[in-house]
Amino acid sequence: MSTTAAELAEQFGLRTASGPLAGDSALPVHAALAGLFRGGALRRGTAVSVDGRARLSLAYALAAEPSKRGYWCAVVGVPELGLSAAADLGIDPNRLIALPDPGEQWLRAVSILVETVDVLILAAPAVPPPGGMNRLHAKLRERQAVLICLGRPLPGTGAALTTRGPHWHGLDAGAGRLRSRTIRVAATGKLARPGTAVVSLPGEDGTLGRALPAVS
Amino acid sequence: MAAAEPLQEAGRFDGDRRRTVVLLCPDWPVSAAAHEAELPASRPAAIFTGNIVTACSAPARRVGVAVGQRRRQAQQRCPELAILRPDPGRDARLFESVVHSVGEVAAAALSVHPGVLTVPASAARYFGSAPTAERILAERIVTAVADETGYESLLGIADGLFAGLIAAARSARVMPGGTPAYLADLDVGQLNRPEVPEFSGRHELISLLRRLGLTTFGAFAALEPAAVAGRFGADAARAHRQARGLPDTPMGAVRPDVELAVETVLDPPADRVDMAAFAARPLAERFLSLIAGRSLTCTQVRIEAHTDAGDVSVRMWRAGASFTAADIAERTRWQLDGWLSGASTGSAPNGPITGLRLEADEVTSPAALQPTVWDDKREDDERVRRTISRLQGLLGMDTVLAGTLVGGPDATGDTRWTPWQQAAPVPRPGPWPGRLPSPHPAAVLRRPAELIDGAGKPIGVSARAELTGRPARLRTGSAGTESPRGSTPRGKTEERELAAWSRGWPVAGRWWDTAADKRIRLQVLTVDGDAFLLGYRAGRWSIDGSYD
Repeated sequence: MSTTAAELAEQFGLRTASGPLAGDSALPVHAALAGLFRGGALRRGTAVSVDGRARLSLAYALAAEPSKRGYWCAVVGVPELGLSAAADLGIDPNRLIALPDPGEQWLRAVSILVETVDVLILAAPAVPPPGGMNRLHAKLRERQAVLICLGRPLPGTGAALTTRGPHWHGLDAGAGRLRSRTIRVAATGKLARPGTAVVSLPGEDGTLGRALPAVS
Repeated sequence: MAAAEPLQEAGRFDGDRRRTVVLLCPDWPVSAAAHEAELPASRPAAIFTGNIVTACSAPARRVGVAVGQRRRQAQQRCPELAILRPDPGRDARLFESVVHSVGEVAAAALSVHPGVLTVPASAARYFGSAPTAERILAERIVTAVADETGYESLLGIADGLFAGLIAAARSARVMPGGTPAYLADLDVGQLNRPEVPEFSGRHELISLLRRLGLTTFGAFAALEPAAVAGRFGADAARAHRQARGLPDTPMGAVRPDVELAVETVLDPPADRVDMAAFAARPLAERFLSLIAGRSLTCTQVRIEAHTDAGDVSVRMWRAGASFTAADIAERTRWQLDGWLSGASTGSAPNGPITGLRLEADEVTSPAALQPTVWDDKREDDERVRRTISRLQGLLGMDTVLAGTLVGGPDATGDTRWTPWQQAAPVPRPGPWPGRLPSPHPAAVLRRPAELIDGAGKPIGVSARAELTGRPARLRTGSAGTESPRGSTPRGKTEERELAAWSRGWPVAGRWWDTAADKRIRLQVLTVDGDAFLLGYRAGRWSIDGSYD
């Protein structure tokens, strides 16, 4: 497989026959979100940010596909982690390491974790110093892990996802219950494919899905 | 996220439950092969795999035959040596008769591996009070095996399977609580127990320990557990627990609260072992996915087969830490082989086998960091374990957590977080009537809030679980927040206008609730699209979850 072909494929977001052979250079993404990433997958060694309403669900959903396939995930700095929701989206609790409160040493903990974990969800307690961030990116590349940052993109983020217009279905004034949410996810950044995906996150069974055409 | 809970029900693992009678048929493959070949027990015999001795009888050992020798070497030492072939099926089939004879004395007999079985010492309670009762039990077992099968056997009693195995090899009974002291002086070479595959293959560890100058169990036991797990890996951590005399069954193994079983009807009925074994494989796969689906690992499985005529074969099998469907299917085959051939009971069943059933008799959580039933065992699991140890060393045990879904009335109380490498909590028995269905809140919080109506009046809950007003706004941040990283800055009051809300759902009593602790749940949706799960208890509202 020539590098040029891979580069071209990535630039135009094409799936090539050699894509599957490239194997481990990317982690899978749910079909409803795949269109937002160049190559249709999470490129290993890079960082993605998720911001806006439902960012936590979106982060779980991104980590879910790798987790379903047996990769390890870690969640750092999220004491409110809702495991039932994460499990509904597909995260395997048996392969989830949670550091709810890493404290001052969070950057060090993250760089230890990326040595073995494939996907890491991070709510950074503070803006890291530039040197620390560069070292983290270098480590991500070396260890081929994917970092998912909650909130504003950290420097060096390859794809930034933001959500718009959440719309919940099923709840009225004094009746019904929350059943599903439709939300628009937009992507920017050099590893993103510009565009918007309309997804149900979560759908009625707590999973991620492609949203039906909006009925408003 | 709640801090780690102390190990639940610690008392249940002590004393009786751990105390184990181990029956060991020494050199079992040789005994079984010699029995089949109708050789006298006094004749030196050895099993050869390829050209190498893999097991030999005591008479052969006496004249210098040893495991690992080449055929010519062995025959030089002992020209009349009987040369036998390995056959795991035969070993298992013939061992069935031993299990059966012990089962007559103590129904709870558990096959560990052909050649080794255990009986919980609690079975002795029918014979009076310990320790006399234990001696009676031991005598009956040994007598039953000798009378009914004629095989030689050794018996030991200690705390846990591993220590019991060592005690059996020396025909010893270790007093309750005396196991660590009993083991302390043993040579580390004893860590390798070829009788049980799970405890064998430790030669590298043993030679490493010797090079470190740790020649006894006691010296090895004195090492820091976290250091052992981090540097030498999971099996060394297990050996370390065993050297310390701690239970070697996975930590926190308990009988499941709900029935975890799968069964299948054999149609057409199976009159041959291979037919039934063929059906056992997919059944075992279903069984393992049932267990794994509950985030559990099965440590003890009960295999049942029955015929239409009402004959039943039931055996308990110890399931190794990394049992696969093939392992369970193999045990099913062993069991049925013995049953159908009549070797175990003296009489074969009337008619073909019509049904198979697998039930988990004991489970533990894989978070206890035993190797588990994960289908694709990845090499990095071991690496992850080391990373976790390293992080726990850096930040403290309680900062690196594993979550277990234990069940509960809603998603805000159904998770227990415990430090990795510690026993995980056991799921609570359901069902949970009125459990809120998916979607579940992505964030679990506990933040005080107020629900107010259009006129600014606070809303409460009536005795009939109805809201006392029509909610218009949700006020948060009026008191100190409990979750430091919520979206509401600490101490600042914020009011959100509501677009929709559910009716109040009463929570069917949680087991830790007092009568006064009536609780209501309510879902609310703000006009800008944020949804929350509210809880009402003791006259106050709180945000328990956010559907972020």
